Amino acid sequence: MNPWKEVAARIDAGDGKKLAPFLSTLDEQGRRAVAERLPGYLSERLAQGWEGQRWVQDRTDAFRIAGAACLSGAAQVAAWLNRRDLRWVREPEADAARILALIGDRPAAWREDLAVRLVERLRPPSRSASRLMDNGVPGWDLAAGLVLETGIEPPDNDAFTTGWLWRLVRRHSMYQGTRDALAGDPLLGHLLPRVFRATGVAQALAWDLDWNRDRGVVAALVALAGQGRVPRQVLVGGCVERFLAGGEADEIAPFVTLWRGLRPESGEIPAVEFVRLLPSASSPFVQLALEELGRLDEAGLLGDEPFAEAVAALTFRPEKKYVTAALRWIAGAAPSRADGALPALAAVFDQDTPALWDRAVRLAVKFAPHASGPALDMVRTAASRLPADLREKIAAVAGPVEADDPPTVAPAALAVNPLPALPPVLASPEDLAWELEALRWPDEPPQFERVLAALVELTHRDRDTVAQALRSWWHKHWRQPFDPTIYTYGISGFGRNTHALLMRCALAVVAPADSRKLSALLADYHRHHPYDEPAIQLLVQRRLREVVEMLEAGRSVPVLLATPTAPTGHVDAETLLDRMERLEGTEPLPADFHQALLRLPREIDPRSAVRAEGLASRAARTLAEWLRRGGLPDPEVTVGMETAQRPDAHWNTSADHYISVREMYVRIAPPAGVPEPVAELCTGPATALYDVGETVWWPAVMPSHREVVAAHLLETLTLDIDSPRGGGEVLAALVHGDGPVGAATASALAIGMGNKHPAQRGAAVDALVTLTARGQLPAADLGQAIAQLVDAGLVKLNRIAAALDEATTAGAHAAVWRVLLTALPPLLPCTGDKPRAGLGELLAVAVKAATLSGERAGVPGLADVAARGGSSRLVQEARRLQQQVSR
Amino acid sequence: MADAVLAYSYVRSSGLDLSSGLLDLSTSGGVTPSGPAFHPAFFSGLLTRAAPAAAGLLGVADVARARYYDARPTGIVRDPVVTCNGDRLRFESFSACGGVYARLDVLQQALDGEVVELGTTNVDVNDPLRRALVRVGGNDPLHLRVGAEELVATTLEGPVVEKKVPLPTRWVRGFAEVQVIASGFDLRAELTGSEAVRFLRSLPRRGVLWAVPAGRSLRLSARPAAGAVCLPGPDRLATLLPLLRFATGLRVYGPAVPAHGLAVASAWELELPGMRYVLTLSPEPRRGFSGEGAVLDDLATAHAEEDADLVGAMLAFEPRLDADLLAERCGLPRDRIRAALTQLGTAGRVGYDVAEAAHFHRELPYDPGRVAAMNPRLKAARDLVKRGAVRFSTPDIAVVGERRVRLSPDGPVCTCPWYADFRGSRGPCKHVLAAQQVHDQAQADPKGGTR
Repeated sequence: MNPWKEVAARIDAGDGKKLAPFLSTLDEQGRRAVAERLPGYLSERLAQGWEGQRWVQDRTDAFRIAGAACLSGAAQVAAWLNRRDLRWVREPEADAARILALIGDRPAAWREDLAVRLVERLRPPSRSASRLMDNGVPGWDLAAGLVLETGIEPPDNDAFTTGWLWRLVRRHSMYQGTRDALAGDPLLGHLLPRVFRATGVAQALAWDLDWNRDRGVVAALVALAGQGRVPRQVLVGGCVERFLAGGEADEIAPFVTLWRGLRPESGEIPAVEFVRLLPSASSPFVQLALEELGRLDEAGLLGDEPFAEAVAALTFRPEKKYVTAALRWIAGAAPSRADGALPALAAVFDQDTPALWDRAVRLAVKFAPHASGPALDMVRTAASRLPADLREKIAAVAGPVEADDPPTVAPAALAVNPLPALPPVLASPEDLAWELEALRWPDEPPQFERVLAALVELTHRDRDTVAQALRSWWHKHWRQPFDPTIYTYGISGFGRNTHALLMRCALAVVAPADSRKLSALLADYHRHHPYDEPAIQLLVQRRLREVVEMLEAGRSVPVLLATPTAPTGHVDAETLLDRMERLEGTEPLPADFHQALLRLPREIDPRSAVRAEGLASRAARTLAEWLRRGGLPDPEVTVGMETAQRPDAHWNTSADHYISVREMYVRIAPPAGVPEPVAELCTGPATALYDVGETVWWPAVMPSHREVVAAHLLETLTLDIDSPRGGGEVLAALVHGDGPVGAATASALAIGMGNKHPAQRGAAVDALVTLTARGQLPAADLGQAIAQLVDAGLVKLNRIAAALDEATTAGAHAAVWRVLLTALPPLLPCTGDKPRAGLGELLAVAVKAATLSGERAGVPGLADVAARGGSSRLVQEARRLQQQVSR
Repeated sequence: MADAVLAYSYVRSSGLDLSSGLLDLSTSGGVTPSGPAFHPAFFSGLLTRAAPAAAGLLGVADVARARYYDARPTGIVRDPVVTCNGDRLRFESFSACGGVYARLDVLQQALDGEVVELGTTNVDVNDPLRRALVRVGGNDPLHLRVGAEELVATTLEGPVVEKKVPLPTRWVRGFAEVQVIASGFDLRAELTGSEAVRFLRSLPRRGVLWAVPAGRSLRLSARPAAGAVCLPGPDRLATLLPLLRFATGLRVYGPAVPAHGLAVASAWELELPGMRYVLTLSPEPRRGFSGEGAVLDDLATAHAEEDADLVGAMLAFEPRLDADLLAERCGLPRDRIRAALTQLGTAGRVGYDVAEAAHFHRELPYDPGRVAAMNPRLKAARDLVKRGAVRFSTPDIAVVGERRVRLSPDGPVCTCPWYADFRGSRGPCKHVLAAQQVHDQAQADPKGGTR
């Protein structure tokens, strides 16, 4: 038997263990024979698709040793072992041992060449820490084994260093690594300095610090440095190098810990480097630098200039704790350092932390007598931002301060951001086919509406042409031959999803028989699984389903009544009458008709009612009556908080796991004498819609009764208050509609402003600004909703504060002030109570809004808070507000 | 197609000697007014504002090695490009992900020295240099040398520093095309230094947001409003943060808010003492600039190439190109000058400065043939035409392969999923380009008719 056949048979058997002894018996000729056939054999197998790949995966070991033993050049072997299909092995250490044994007889130069190539080709690991812990960096064991055997200096590759660290970390976690073992590690000398330069090592070090702690690699390095068995300079200098290289917190943190473990002497602390890093470094290092520079300063080893630079850098940092630390440092400084301290204090005035202004001003007053002219000028200029009382204190020591007052922020002009205009009507079957094919996800109701309208109108005019035009769409989107069962499994959504329903409308024109089959199957299914969406969504679906039904039956109507004529979804009354006339006395589709009624504007010319009376159909009489009565009277919407018993987790519903929670409830009560389908929409409690995305339809369902829409929306929003698709857009669209707004709209706004996602908050602010610009903001309701939702722990106050701040900046300052007048009193702490988080920020917004609007009014409870002692942000802002409103 | 490899060769490493205050930037092969040069020397003199300049250079270097949608290290750093325009030095870099462009313009006010020559080249940036740049501070000026004259004589022994990095075509194309995209931007907002600090520090890390001018600052919104600027992936502005301590203002540029409301590119320019640092962001963190197709309409015009040759011959590393002057000198109308500048932009031969609202001359130091290689979409469109895949069913509706294209006056539209996703915001798709080409041919040659 020839050698290749023997090898192939052993590979096929998946038996790496028996293959190795056989390979070592091969002579030069035998190896060549194998080398000739091996790559082709692998490619052949891989070409068989995923099954072949799987087959190769199970035999990676065998393929690797066969290649390593038989391929001739080092470059070839390296390329073979680095192949994507052969790179991953289950037991890398055993694999390395097998291969090393097989190539032991190759010339030294060849082996060195291979070692270099293997090290250079290692890739930065992209696996999770736990997998790196188990299996190491792929390919590392073999590369390292060969490096050690050949005794070469390993080429510089970060992945090699990272692999080394992961192996050390694992050894230490298994109690196999000791300090002695580490000191004797043959790679230590080469790789230790590289640890401080390589990217990607932090993950291994962080794991070591988390899990190995005292017995870990980092701890061992510290101990060895203490004993002088590892050059301390390499570690200390390496850390500095690493700090200078910068990086995110998690990349720097392990080195900060190492530095702390080493306890460098003051002489080892590079003051200039540490100072220069303060402005840009990540937080763990800044904390370290702060401590170390403080240590130097206490020993009298920090010059005045580095001191000045350091405190200036710290007071400019975004983290409040470093600003505070700098103030503490300055407080302890000698008067001779006044010129260095004052610019740093000036930077504090520019920070948005009024709680610190007081202290900074006191320090400035203390240092001013010792300062030079330019430093005083800086403080004086910066002080213009401060409130009047603090300004005066600065002026007393530094000369007159120009007030940047009235307000630092000029009020912006309020502007409504209009909804996008409606797309043009689709006039030809070609256009219709085009738009149908280009329909997008997620739903865009205006697009849907015009496709639906064109489908119905054009089909009525010339069904065959439309069917013809839609054929290519049909071929592409529906399985041929048609099999309705694939569209009817439970979650397919073909019965309820708006996108699918619109597709079914078109299917009913092109292939009515197919459509009927599908509808029958779906009807069967839904008999047992009734539609359970909120009534408002059911109307959207019903409108689409009745069109499917009509077209399937081969019927048609000249025109749909409810197609919007305005971006809000409104249908102009005269247009509706024109459309009714085109029906020529036939009855319209019921859902379409009711939708049209709901889309009428609130203000209607009385002559329209007269015109409607002239039309002959049952629907026309209803319409005339509707118009005479002035449309749908406003349903009553109530929103409130209640205490409910709920399971503490959704998976645990046993009776003893119920807890009391504060919840928001919504109720809608229909006005008397409204037709049934409409009354349904005005009845609650509403149910929630699980697919928040489809709520985009709702603003246009009842554009003249947006509070009702808000009530339906609220039920869905409270399901998941921090949803990334939290209906912010719906809210922003809703407010462009008409009709009264009250508690429901206000609560939806408050929930939007408290959303975790900035985009959602932004949309809620947009809605607030739009309502304000239209003069319709229910300010008191919003204030109350904020207070209630915050009190129930449903939304976070700091987010609300940030959103109200944005609205203030956008020009809604007067409205925000009115909102806060209601929101603040219940949120302010009673005497002795611990104030809630974020209240200081909220008061800061109140100060801004009150200042900009020039409003003056007492806020109940404010004086008590302002009179509290201390210098917390809450108290400071309360005092400022108190001053502002009682001026 | 395997990616090309770019080899930088420097006579020595760039270095910063803090004791003597010398910042020595080593140059690789580049272009000067007299043609290609191996190690050109551009400038020697004082950087009067050393600290912001060093921090700005670090920002440019950080962008060069960043891959914003994936934080794992790439191991690939493409060296920044420096251009000497006479009155200013420009340092440019382009992120490894192809979605962020950074430029530091060091203006005359911050330079005090001698311009040796005009031109463009790469400068070496290495780890020791980066670490030294971090240590620059205080008010002491630095001596800056971009390329060293006296060293040119010693290059006979060959370069000592060689670096090789892969050079993907789409990266080079993105680097070039970002200029063309930026030329459609206008100033949308201007913030003072302290407002800039507040705004930039308050940004979330992720998401596609719109910054709407509000009062003296900007506020974030989920939906575009008039005058808004798109902010896609705010974490990509991270290199602005270390520069905030020097910032005297922030200017924000972008295109007019598009009707389709989809994300668009934007530019964020920090005003520093005597210099400007600008970042241009692609419309999505995962989208590089190369696929934006902003150039296609201009590239597809008949005269673009000849006009570009004509205009290109007039360039002499001007800091700002006056389009009227070019029009006059070349005897071409403005729209053809514009198309020619687009063509030159995609070839990496001009950049665009949003602050000046003008192009500037610089020659990207990459193989010009590579940069100018035909846009793949344009190529695909020409293939479609060649295959006869375009059939007009009505005068304005064409069937192109299995897609349908309509050439309407409001802009062409197509039924392909790519168009559905981007609605023309990334330029025309290959089907539209093919249909337009057949349409134009038919107009030019009515007898030929449509195929």
